[in-house]
Amino acid sequence: MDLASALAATGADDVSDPSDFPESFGVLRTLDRTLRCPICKDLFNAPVLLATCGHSFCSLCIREALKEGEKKECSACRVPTQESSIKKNIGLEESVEAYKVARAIVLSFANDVVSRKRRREETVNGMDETPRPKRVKRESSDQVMQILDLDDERTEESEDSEVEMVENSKALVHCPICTRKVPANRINAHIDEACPEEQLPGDKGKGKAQWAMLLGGPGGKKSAKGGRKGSGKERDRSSSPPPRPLAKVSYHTLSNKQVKGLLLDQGLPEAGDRKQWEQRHAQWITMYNANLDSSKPKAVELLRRDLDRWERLRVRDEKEKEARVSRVDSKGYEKSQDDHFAKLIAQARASAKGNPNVIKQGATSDKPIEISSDVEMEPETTARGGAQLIPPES
Amino acid sequence: MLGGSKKTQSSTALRRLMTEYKQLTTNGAPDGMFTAGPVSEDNFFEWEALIQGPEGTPFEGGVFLARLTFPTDYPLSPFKMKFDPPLFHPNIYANGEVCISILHTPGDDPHMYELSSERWSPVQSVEKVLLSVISMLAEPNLESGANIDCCKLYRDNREEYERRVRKMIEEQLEVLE
Repeated sequence: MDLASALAATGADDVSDPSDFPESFGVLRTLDRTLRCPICKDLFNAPVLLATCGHSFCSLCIREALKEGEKKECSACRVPTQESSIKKNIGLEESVEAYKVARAIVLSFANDVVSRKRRREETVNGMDETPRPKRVKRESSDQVMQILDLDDERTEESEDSEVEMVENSKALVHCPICTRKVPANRINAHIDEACPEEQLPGDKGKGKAQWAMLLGGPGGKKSAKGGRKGSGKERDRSSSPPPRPLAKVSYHTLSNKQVKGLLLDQGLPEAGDRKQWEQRHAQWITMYNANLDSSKPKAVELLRRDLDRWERLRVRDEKEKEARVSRVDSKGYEKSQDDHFAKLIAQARASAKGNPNVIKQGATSDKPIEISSDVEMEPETTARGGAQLIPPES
Repeated sequence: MLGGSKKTQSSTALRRLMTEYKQLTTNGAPDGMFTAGPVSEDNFFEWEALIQGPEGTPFEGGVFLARLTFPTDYPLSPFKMKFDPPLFHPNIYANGEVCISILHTPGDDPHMYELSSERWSPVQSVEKVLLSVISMLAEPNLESGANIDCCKLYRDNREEYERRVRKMIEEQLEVLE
């Protein structure tokens, strides 16, 4: 199994879940849970709402779920629904995008509080000889951690955090008023002085890159946040019409040539057989439409690559499935159960003739037969089984 | 991460399984009734679960090993659950496979008894299924029997049923020792 590449593709190290928050911060776990798709359990990605019931999912998750199921229903509450009830949930998307940024900060804050508390308890217990444990549950960025070591926190543990203090003074925070970056130790003064230009310490390297990623720093900020506000969409509208969702196709009315034409229209490969073409095209529609529900949709090229990966995995799965099915020895099983089947058939025939005596014997013989035991439990099955059996008790 | 996450079917499955595993390891199961996790870190699609026999039932005192096999389109499709060694229980096939409505998709109904509201849906999880299985151990569902002899015994001769269950647990524990 190609797990290593699959892991790499998912960015396995950023798997997160509500239990990242310490147990004592149950409210944060609850908050975290509410911002996750109930299907993939990830933070919402291009969230949509089902107009029929009001539940929210990632667009791709619910689209795939609706495609898969025979009954089209909400995965959460099973209220019948259909693709046309999928509506963008813009407010939720904005909340989630904002939360993603806040999460890292709040998480390290919560973990920090917990580890400080633990440390203090250890000191109280006279265990201060033991080396201070490194903070275990650190979030990805040290810098984030340092931000939270704000003044009030620091005074609490003045002796053992001198090193941290030095580091802290270098950490940058965004001023909530002017949104410029300000050294953490200057933030209060900065606000008091009505946001003057700040001399930034020469912070460089890893931390900076992480910041850019986390808070959408210079460069990152424009692309990420600008897009989120929907301005990207508006730009699109002014230059070219916004992309429209693709309509579903009922392939069985189409000729091979027409199906191929559909693939060509979308710039998709025409490899494989008819079944594969249809699956490829249907999946493309799902992925394409889900992508449109995002306020910062991926480039179509990237989407094609996703489709390609989906297809390769699917082919592999199907091969595995076939291999598994062929391992089951159904012929052998039939043979070994021949006697049993013959008995059941005879019994059913007899009962069809309406001769209750035969059945009574069958059902009460020492060797119970499955049909009869079934019948004893649930008399109404008899109609479905085609055998008019009378439960021996009656 | 701020960037749009990459999602294809199988990577969704993988991420979901990793999330569930993570959550089960950090939170643990309610009342420590079970543990579950991948057999090896190389393959997140094969899990093992250890389930404690629920108290106040003939299964009390037993610890049961089950294998969970996840499809690559998980959670759209449910996983399969198989006790190894098999358990003597009305809803468990002779090969150990568990027959429970929460692991059946609405389209797949071997017994035609199950309400679709009890079926698998992508919002279900390993934790919810294992809790259902534990309650199934305590209260067999005779309407969708998988082991007919066991169903009959359960209905007609509860004492003998309980005796056989306990005997099975003893035997299994001996094997473990």
